[in-house]
Amino acid sequence: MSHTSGAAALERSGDIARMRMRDIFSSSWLLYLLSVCAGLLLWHSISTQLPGVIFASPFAVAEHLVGAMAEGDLPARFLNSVRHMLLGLVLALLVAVPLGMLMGRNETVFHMCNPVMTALFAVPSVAFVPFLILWFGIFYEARVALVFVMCFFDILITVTAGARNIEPRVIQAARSFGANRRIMFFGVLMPASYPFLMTALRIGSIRAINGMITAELFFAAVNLGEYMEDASAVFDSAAMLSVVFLLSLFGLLVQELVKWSEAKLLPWHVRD
Amino acid sequence: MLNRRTVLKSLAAGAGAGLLSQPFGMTRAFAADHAALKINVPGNTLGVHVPYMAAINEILPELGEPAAAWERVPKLQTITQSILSGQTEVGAGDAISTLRAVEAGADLKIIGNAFMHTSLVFVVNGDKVDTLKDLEKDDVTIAVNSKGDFTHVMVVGPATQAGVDMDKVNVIKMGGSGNRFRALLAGKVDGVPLHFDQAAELATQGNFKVLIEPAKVYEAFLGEVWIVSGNWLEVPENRARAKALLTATTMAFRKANADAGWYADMYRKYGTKESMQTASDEEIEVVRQALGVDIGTWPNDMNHRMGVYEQLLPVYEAAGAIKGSVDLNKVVDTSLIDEVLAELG
Amino acid sequence: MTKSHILFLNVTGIVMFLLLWEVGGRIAGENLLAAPSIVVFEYIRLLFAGDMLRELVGSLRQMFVGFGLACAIGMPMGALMGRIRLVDALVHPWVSMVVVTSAAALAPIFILMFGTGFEFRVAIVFVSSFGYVTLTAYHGARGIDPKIIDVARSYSTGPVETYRKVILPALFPYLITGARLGLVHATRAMVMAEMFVLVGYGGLIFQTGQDLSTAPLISYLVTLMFVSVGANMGLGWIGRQLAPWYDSKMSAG
Repeated sequence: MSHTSGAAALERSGDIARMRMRDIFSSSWLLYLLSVCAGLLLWHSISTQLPGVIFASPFAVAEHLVGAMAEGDLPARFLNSVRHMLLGLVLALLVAVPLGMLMGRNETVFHMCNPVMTALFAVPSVAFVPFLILWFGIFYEARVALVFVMCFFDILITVTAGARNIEPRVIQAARSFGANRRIMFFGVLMPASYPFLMTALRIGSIRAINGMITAELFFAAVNLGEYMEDASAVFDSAAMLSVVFLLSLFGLLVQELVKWSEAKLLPWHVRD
Repeated sequence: MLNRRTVLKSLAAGAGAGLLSQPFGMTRAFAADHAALKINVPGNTLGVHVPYMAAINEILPELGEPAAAWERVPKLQTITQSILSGQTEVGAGDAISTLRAVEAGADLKIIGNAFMHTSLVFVVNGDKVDTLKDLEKDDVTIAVNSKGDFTHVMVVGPATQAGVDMDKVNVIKMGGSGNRFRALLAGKVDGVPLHFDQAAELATQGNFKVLIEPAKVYEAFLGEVWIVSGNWLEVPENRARAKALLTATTMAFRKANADAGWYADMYRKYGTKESMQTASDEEIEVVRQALGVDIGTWPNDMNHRMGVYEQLLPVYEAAGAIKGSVDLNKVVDTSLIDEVLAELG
Repeated sequence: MTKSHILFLNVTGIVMFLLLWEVGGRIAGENLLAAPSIVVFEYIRLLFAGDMLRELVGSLRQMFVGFGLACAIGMPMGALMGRIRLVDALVHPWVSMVVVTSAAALAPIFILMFGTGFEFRVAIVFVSSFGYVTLTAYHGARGIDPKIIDVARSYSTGPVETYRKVILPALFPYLITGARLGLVHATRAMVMAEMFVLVGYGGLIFQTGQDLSTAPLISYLVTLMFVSVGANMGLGWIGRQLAPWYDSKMSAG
């Protein structure tokens, strides 16, 4: 909806619009900076109202981050955490994407699997933790399993919905031009799937990051989870907030990266 | 205090929550005389916890105070943390994490004991662990309540003395002795701190043995203590309520030591284990003798003294639980219990 | 495909799943995976024992306070972000940040700030659902076709009137979708927060996990599933009742 109106506006006012676009672009960086500053200021003003053991100021967090980064401990832990996150995410993608495509393109499979999948999706993944402890223990395998469970259903639901919504007209058009199965798959279905596969990747990676820290806090505390637990045990709120801040930043970064690659790879499908 | 709480609340849920809960906070601050104490207690009530549960439920009303509004929070560390927020007023928590919080700059006070010493013992799976050194094995995992609290220290102290490298020991956290009991029984972990009444029950169900008995290792040991925040205590009404709590606890200690029938009733009433609710007088008497007489968990004078802390500080420091920079005078408040003892005699 | 054919496939799928589970449960044993035939009896027992429903009601009450606040604040905020550029620019980066922030990582900090009771759970639920509610409302508000608003203006409708009669109805499907999406995340956050401090329904789930049999654990999960599916369907139903133009295709996915 919005990009059609945007395109129409562009057509209408040609050069003026282009100039305005440039203005907005430069000022949006300014606004972005302003937003970050305003947020930090709010954070800081809240932190002055609370004791330091409860809620650290952005300065304390920054100081802690610089120290911890220089020491090398925090980055090392982060890398270790990312390892099991990636494995869980890749496994989930490998299983959920084909299954989602199958469910999305085959009506019989869809109606057979849908009730069960909806029901399983409805159970918060973290509630499976006791099971994962039973089946995988409390170490590496369990963490990978939780990451897997936490992103699997979100990816599956996204892919299924996307595959079901591939414009039937496109497929009919291809068929009427006599496209065979191969052309149909590589020429029509695959390109039509890229957008929602990208969405699935974006949602999946956010969930995977979420799962990564959840796993480290709920199973045996290691890496970042241990860092948080230790910080919490000595009431070091700056260290705790540092981890949260890093994770959020990491999440944002991954999300933007997926969006950016989407814009590069799929220029015909640019989201607003 | 009010200011901080207001800020916290509006943070919690934005303006909407601020509007909703603001009146709530006001009533709490001004009508402190009549408000029930909000207390967080650990996950299970076993023999050793019975007197203070009776104190906050039965004896407080006898003193003209409302019975406490209490909630169970199995992780000891979390109990200490929840006092900081101001949302809970009193915690039956862990002295060590309180000391650590104060080292980090928190304003917390320990005003009395919920029980002294400890009825905890460290029980292990006899098939996998025979000596302390076995804890280092890769396939051995132990569970403590939360890292660095007294359930952890009671293992770290003796283990370090026996030359065990604690960095090599797999330690996980599991709140609630009942949970740890079941986890050990199911073979999910190989060593847990349990209360001795649980340990006796466990011994009948397999090859489990007591590896560490803090009662034998430590002369004095702090169990659960009553924790409040410093600025909460400065409010005169709150001070009066805290004093009532200590009076009730001391009375409960004395009653538990003197009156076997009363203790047995309370044991059946407040025990969280099903077997406790149906226990016979004789069975309960065994527990009461062991706790009250042998270990001395309910001293008639509460034994909340600075001396106890001065003695324990080096022990906690050696176990790496605290840095040792804490000023005990700021944390341990004995003025209330002194007043109580002067009145009770 | 006819309706009865779909129903037949649905039922076949569920029956096949239950059969697989039964066989798996028989092979793995009750302490690894309790079979449905065992769970059914355990479920009925727990239903009448009372603990399950009491804890569930208590937890849900707190969750709905947090979720309600997220809707009450997030929806207008999202609509404002969608209509006013400055608000969008100022708020958007932080809302995106909130969306990607893991609730589990916040839990230790929130315990310090809010304790372990009502405020804590409300805060966690609020933070986890707020971003989704806001962003969905935002996309709805941005997507409103300017032509519709132009039409309203050309009939000289005032700003309040325009908002009430044009923008709000156009936004409505998005608000319901946002609420459904937010509810999914609110439920997740509630269970996570309660499992973290071991209170309420989540605490029940976690502690039951230490038991020898997995039948009670599965029972608790089944109840949670019913509640979650029910609430989601309920919101969809409300959406269709209040706004017949609510397209069921918009359902959260």
